[in-house]
Amino acid sequence: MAWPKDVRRGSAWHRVGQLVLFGLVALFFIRAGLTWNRSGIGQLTDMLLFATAAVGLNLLVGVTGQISLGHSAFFGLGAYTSAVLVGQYGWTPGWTFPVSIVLCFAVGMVVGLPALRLKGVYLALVSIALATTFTQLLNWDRLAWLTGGPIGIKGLSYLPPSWTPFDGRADLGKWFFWMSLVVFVICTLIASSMIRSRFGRSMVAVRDNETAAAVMGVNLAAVKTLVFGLSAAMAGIAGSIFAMKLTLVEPVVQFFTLFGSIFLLVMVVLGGAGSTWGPLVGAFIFVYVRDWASGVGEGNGVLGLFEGTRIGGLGGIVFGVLLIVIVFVAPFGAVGLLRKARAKVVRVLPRPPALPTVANAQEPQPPTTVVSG
Amino acid sequence: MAHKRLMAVFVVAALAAAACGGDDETSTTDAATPTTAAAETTAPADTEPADTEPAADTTAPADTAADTTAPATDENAFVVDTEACEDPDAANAVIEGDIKIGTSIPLTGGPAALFAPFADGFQAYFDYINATEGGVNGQTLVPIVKDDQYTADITKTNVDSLVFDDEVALLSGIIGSPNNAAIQADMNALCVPQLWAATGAPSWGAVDVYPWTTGLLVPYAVESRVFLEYATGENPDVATAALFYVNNEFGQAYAEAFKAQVEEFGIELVAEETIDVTDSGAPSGQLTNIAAANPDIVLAVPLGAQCIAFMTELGNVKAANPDFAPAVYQTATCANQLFFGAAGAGGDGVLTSSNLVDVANPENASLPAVSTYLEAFTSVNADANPAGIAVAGWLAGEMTVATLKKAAEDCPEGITRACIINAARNIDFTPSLFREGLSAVMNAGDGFIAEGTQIISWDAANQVFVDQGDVIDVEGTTGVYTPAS
Repeated sequence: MAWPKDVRRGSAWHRVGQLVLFGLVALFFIRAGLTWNRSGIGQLTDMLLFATAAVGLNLLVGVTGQISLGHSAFFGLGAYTSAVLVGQYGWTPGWTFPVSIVLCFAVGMVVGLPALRLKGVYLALVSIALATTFTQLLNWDRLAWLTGGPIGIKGLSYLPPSWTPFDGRADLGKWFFWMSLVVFVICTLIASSMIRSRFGRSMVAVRDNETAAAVMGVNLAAVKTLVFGLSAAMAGIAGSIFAMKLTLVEPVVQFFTLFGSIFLLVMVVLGGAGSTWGPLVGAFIFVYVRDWASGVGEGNGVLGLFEGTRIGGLGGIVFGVLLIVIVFVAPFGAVGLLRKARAKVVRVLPRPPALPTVANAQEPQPPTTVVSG
Repeated sequence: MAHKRLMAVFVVAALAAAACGGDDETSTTDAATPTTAAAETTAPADTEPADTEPAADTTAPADTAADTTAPATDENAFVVDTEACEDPDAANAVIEGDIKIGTSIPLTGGPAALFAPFADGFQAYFDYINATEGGVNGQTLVPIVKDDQYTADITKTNVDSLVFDDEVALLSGIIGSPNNAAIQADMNALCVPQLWAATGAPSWGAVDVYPWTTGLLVPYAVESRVFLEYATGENPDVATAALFYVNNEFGQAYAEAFKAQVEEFGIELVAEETIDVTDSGAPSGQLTNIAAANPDIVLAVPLGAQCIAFMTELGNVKAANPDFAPAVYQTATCANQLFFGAAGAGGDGVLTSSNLVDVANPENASLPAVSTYLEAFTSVNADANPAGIAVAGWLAGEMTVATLKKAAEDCPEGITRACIINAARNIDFTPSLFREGLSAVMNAGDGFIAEGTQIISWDAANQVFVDQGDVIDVEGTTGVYTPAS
């Protein structure tokens, strides 16, 4: 029997393969949610929240090709919206989430306006300005009545509501975990169905050749601003839950600063820009590799060679080198690498062309396909 | 196990009963109620026999406790209520085997990374006690240090991991006001002792609201008052002051105290400048503004490496403005040979304070406490500077061990988290490197251990701190802190 095997997209075998993959991932999260301790679940929750924000960023960067280094501002805006409403105005945390989503969507649309005129490095610069301005605003004395200034807002609390099976503070970690998982799944479903829709093809067209897309009738302004808005909304809801889990917001929280934007971009690239699984895999690698790397050189560090020397920032250096290696080995991210490995065993062939009468409803092409004249 | 827990509960009950001895019947019943509830939750089957037969047992620990613990008979003794805990059983469970002590400090990243030698001093004390005394209560002490880059969200992640993965018995010596503030509510709900927070913010003295968190440093309000008293004593004509501080909880705690105090002293605040936490550049603009206001005194509260930048820039601004010659006081968290030495001429004559013996001063080298410290410290990290922040790490270690020893003494059945916090909140101990005449005392009415300090000034020519006046001790005067909300 010759390898690799050919499997046609949409065939029974293809569906079985997809189900097994989904099943394994679902099993991992369910098992973790039921058996892991509070610290493990806490870390996994952070990972899911970063992945949710990365799903949004992936729509923007990976699918639509608009570089943003300002996503920390949306993540932070979501966090501060919840924190201000809960901490300053006594709202129930759950009701602040829709407000965060709407506010971040609106601000995202507005911020998307420069993208109508700017491209590439210029757009990146504008988005950097957004990230840095956001932390300056948080620190601004005149806004301290709202944001708490440099001290931020502390002592936020979100106990599991009574309708949930979770009981008080002891189940807080689990409550945040399941909530984050549901939010992540919803955002991923929205993103993946968007990518497969007509709108998604417009997004890919904008990424691959803006002029050609416009010529073909894609409304550039609508696509760009809507994607910016949606992307910001996903970062916003992730930020909201992150703030409630952290119980505080302050301007120096890493994910509210430019670092956060860079981290989110790293996750998207690590996982595989443009792919549905990319953000999850990227966030997973980011959180766990960073955690592993931070232990290097410390007392019970991984590299016994460095034990006791405590080189400042060694963990950071190890992490940085790893990133470079991963990008070299897997230029299309971890998901790209896995696909390459899978292709040695199973080759997924596209569906045969659809009948001419249903041409408009044809299956989407993989995101890397060039859709241009 | 259940038996031991029950015993521990009895001891707490006995302490509570002893503490409330002088009260009326109602309060005695109140103190007893949680104990019964705890006994029920621990071992429901044992409740009945425990109520009847071992009545004598109940008194036995009480007697022992009364014999060994002075505070138990003292009206001012602090007794923690574990019923308020998320898991009262865990708070009263005897800690078996090694005693793990977790901490989270900035080892990397930003201006606060210069606090890293704290970890070496901290480690050195536990190594020293393990080597010379075999730990405490026959249990080896195992410190676990994590890096948080002075970022509160990382502190929180670290502490979660310390408590739930490493299963530390207690936390100790966590650096930073925002960092300790971020975990304070959680640790008080979980009833994990958060001892000797290496900051001087007022919140660590909130005995009633956050009993499980205790502070290590001289409260900032005490420090700024001591400076004002010193400055006005030296020059009764002081009329104007300027304030420079880092824009976070640490700096603002200082600023609030200082602003209230200058009014009291009849001094006008003529300039107020701030610097961001992550800003490691020279504060030129801020110091130019301060020099323009030409105040008589300046209180400066920079963070970590910012201490050096502040003094260096102070030297430059002074050179450019010969009339600008105020008495400048820098927070005690800058009182470090490393910082002052690096600042060159700018540090000359700058005041700060310390409640600890100056281990870098050759005159003190013959003191046994200093030589013990230097020897132990060198064995942990021969390359690091043993002066400054490293000494605070040693102090945090020493206070932790003193607490554990007292806990072992007060709770002969075994150390529990409740015993540890009761021991910490009733501590009466003189750390080996404290200046003469100072001691660490806390009780129900006194939420701060360190309330005395010595003003010192830097002599740049000889690279040494020089004492100014005498130790000013206001022990017991700061009482407890009540948070605003």
